[in-house]
Amino acid sequence: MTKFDSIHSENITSQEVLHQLEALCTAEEPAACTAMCPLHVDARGMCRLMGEGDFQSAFKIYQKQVPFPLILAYTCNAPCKKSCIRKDYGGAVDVDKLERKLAETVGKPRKAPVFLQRKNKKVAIIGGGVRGMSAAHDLARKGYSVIIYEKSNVLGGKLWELIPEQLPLEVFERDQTILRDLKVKIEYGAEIKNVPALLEEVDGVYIATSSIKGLFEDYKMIVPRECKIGLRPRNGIVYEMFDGRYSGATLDRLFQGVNLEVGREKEGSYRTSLLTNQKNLSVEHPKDEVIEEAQRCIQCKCEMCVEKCGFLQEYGKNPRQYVREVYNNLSIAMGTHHANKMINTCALCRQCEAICPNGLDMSKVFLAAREKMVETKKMPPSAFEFGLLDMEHSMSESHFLVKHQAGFDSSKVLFFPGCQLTASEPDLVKAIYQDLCGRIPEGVGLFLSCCGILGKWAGDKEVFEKVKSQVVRGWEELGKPKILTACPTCNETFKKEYGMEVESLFEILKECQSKEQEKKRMVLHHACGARYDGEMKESVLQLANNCQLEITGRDDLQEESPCCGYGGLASIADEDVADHITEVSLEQLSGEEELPILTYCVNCRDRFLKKGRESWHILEVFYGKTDKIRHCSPTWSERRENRETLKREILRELWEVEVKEQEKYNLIIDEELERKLEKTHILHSDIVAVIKHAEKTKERLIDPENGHFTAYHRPGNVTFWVEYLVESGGYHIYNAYSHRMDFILDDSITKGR
Amino acid sequence: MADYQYDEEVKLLCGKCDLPLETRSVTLSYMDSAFPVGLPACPKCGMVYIPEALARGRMLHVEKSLEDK
Repeated sequence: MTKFDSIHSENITSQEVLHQLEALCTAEEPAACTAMCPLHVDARGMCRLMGEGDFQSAFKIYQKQVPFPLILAYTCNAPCKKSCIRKDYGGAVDVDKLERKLAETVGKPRKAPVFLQRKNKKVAIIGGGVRGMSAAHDLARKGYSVIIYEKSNVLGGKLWELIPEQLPLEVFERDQTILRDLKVKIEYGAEIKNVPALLEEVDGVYIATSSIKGLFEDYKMIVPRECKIGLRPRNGIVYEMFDGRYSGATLDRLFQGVNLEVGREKEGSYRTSLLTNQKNLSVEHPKDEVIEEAQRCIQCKCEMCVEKCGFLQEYGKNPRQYVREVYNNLSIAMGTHHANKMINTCALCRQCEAICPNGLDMSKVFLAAREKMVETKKMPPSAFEFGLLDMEHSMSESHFLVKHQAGFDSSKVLFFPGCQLTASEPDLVKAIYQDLCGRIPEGVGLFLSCCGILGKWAGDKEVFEKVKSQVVRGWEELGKPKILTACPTCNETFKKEYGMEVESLFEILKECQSKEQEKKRMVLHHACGARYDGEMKESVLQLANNCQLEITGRDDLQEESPCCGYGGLASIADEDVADHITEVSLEQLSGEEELPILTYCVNCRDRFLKKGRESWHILEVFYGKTDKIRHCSPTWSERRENRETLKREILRELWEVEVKEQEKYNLIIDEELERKLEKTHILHSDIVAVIKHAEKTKERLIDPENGHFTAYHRPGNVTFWVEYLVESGGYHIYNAYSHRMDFILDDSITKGR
Repeated sequence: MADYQYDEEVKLLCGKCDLPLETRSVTLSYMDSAFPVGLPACPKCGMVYIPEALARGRMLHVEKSLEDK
């Protein structure tokens, strides 16, 4: 149970949910050092710049947070070191040494603004020590008239204990010139005893001295010496500066009529919630040379999920920003929904959830967003239509089949290969089915169908429910036998979305010996559908052993397994983003040596093969690499053709049913055009439909130079155009393209379609 | 009056009427939006031609913009 589980992420349009989700991502929290420093100096940024040798910029970062940067640089006791992650790996970064180096080399006092604003309020500060000086600096910079009453004849108070051994006198004098430039008045030798009388002359008083104790603390215009917030113990000059700063801010709030306490929890020292990956951190001891010492800073950050996900990298944001973008995208009533593409290209694999110590599951956020978009009719029609049509094909007469084993009237189990194994490896499906029939004598039914997950991924609950009811109907017709899945995603969908008890094929096969006995070292890629399914992973491993495969054990490839880029219909929404997801995944799978990849989801295999990486599906290996195994990533057209052929052949061969052959159209298409068709989602069947329509109606254009015909057809929401030539034995296809816009001729009775 | 006219030269003839195409008034529509344009079409039977550059250029751009509205 993670923090994420208690959040109703499905209500992503609620601001409360947004804030809860944002809080889970710590990517934008300050580094531990910055949070621990009461003045919140960005020591991480400072180290980065010093490490690059850019001392000027590093000092600018330092100076930004500190009222007297030179004084502090020489006297800081660096409380940040207490929280430095490096502390346990060789020792905290010596930030005090770095500060001092900056002051010695490039340090300059702060400058007063060229245009100093003036506010109509006066502040008296009793005591010219570090607290008084800091409050005076901050208030004067904000435009208040400030007067310091100092009992002695110098400013600095306790600093004199450090001058000149630790703090050179010249540095102290140079750094306090800022007060003069900010027009702060200083009265030396002035001991204030009657504070209420002082209030007659000014609007607020800060008692920055210890000589007036316990008096007037309840009086709202008088602010006591020390503030009470922040972590303890707190000692040193930096905390005195902070006291002055805090008290100055209190007076400012007072004058502006703002609540004195609300929203101040993170002033002063606190512990950051930023999560930093310490997994690969090695011990490194302090260095004498400052640049090298600065380089010891590990640059704390929490981007563990982004580093491993091609999708999260694609848009250059962290999950906190993604969550807000999703919220904003769903909230706008008018205008452009800029984040649509982003929402629709997450592969929904949950790698981020497995990596995040807070369990932030971005897939649930994106899925909730998609469902909301469909519900409010804001889902771009083109986003997932092609994928849903592919699912429709799997559920149509062309592929859908549910039958008892030939000669049986009941089934012990019902084999459900899934819609993509039938599309990628139809002959393997046939081989598995026949093998199962031999192993399970009580009868094995066959169920060719999709589990409906594509509808779920598209955010379309209605479409998913439709598929689900068709599947349930088929299953019930066969007497509800136990379903045996070959696909990890189908397996998970049946368990989670159908509430069904199903078994994985790997579980059945794990005890069996493979005919394939070629010893091979491989890296096992776990499918996202089995991310948390230890039992399935175990079965696959055992099966791999039975195939004589030596699997490299890597913990980072278990629950945190990278995504192949198939899931979530990412490749339908944008193939380029999906490609990047695959590439990032392959980088992680490579490790120290580039071993062939073993998968147990055919989509993973297909996507890896497409990228030119050797990868095998475990069932291909188990059943032996025969000629009939295709072992390539099929095109969208081939997927459909393979499913259709499988159904026809299996009906004919196993059930001895007479099946009509499909009308064959011989299309001649060169490789380049084939690649274009694949990328633009134009199927061979779309081309055939155009040609059939054109040949029948004779509605076509002709190029007088080469005789090519150009024709179109709009069977659904897309118009397809094809340039072709009738050749002996087929149709030579020269070009094809499509558009979604419809068209109609205006000034004629003859319509343009 | 159409906002957009396709003015590139089109060599194609209507296969049915054997006539060169002429620019005619056509309405393109998508997601409840309509755009009057001038496109090549057969002067007799009205068969419209949408060139690839237009389909995958301006039209695709308009489709995407409307989808994200």
